[in-house]
Amino acid sequence: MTMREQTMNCPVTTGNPQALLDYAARTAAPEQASVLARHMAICPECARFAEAQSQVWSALDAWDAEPVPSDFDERLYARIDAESRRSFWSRILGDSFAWKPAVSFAGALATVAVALVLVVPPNRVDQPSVTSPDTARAELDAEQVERALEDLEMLRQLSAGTSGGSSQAL
Amino acid sequence: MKYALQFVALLLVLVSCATAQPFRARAKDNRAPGFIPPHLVMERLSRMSPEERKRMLDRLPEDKRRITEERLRELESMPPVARERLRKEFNDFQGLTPEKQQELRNLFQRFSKVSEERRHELRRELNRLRSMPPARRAARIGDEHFRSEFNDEEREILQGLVETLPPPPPAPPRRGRPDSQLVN
Repeated sequence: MTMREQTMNCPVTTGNPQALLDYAARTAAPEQASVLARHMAICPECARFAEAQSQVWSALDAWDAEPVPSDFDERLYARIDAESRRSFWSRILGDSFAWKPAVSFAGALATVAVALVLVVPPNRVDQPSVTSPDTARAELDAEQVERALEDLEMLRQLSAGTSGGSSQAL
Repeated sequence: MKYALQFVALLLVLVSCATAQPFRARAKDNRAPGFIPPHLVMERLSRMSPEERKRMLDRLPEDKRRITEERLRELESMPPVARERLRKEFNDFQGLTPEKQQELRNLFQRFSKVSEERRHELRRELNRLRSMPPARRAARIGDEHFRSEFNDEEREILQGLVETLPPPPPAPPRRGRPDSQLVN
């Protein structure tokens, strides 16, 4: 083992894997590649790192990119230009947007929503509001009391004599 | 841009909900200013001081105020057991549809026109019929004795009342609890 090999800092443990990346990309200088190869023979971490990186490069080598059409740039710039000329609503709603079905659909949904609101009784309206006794007194209507007493009188008259209470009319 | 369509639809639904609910709430609130459910009226009344009650009743015309005050006095003087029973009957009555309630009021008007002596008989028969199971009640209404005992008008009133009134509350307990409140 040479002095350089002995004194080489491990790229993985020192957090400097650039040498290994160069090695896997086959861009490292021959001397450096040789030193690294010897180091990896005794350092499993570096060997694994270099192996994984080599697999990435192999995969990239095997990948065939789709050929770019000759008029790609021309079409791209034409599209960018057309996009910048489109109206605000056209950009928001898209090219495939059609008002007629959208309005029909939204109308149907709105009808369902209104029907639900009308059919389902809102509790916050039907339930008596929780108010302070003073407010409650202020809200009480004399005519309501009169009507309630009339109904009570009727029920009392109709059931008089059944409870053992007075049968005298209210 | 399907998301745009969904966005518009969702927006419409939200707007519908936000606008329809307050309209409905206002419509309900407009039934009567300061509307209080009937079954809470007497309970609210019982919480009033004599001065507050007088102030409220003073808004009524003189004759109505006098009758209302008299009825309140009678109500307060009822024995607790009778008052409790009446409270239950009142709550059951409030559970009827407005149409049924009005039907009962109409029948009661006809009942009130009958002489006191006959009213006593009608009341007794009504209580008897209400305590019967439906089959027995139907047999009773159909029998000759019933027909001979009550005239057409009385039979019609009785039948209407029996069909419209809610089932009578269970028999009251022997001893009523002390209760300083009005009905309800």
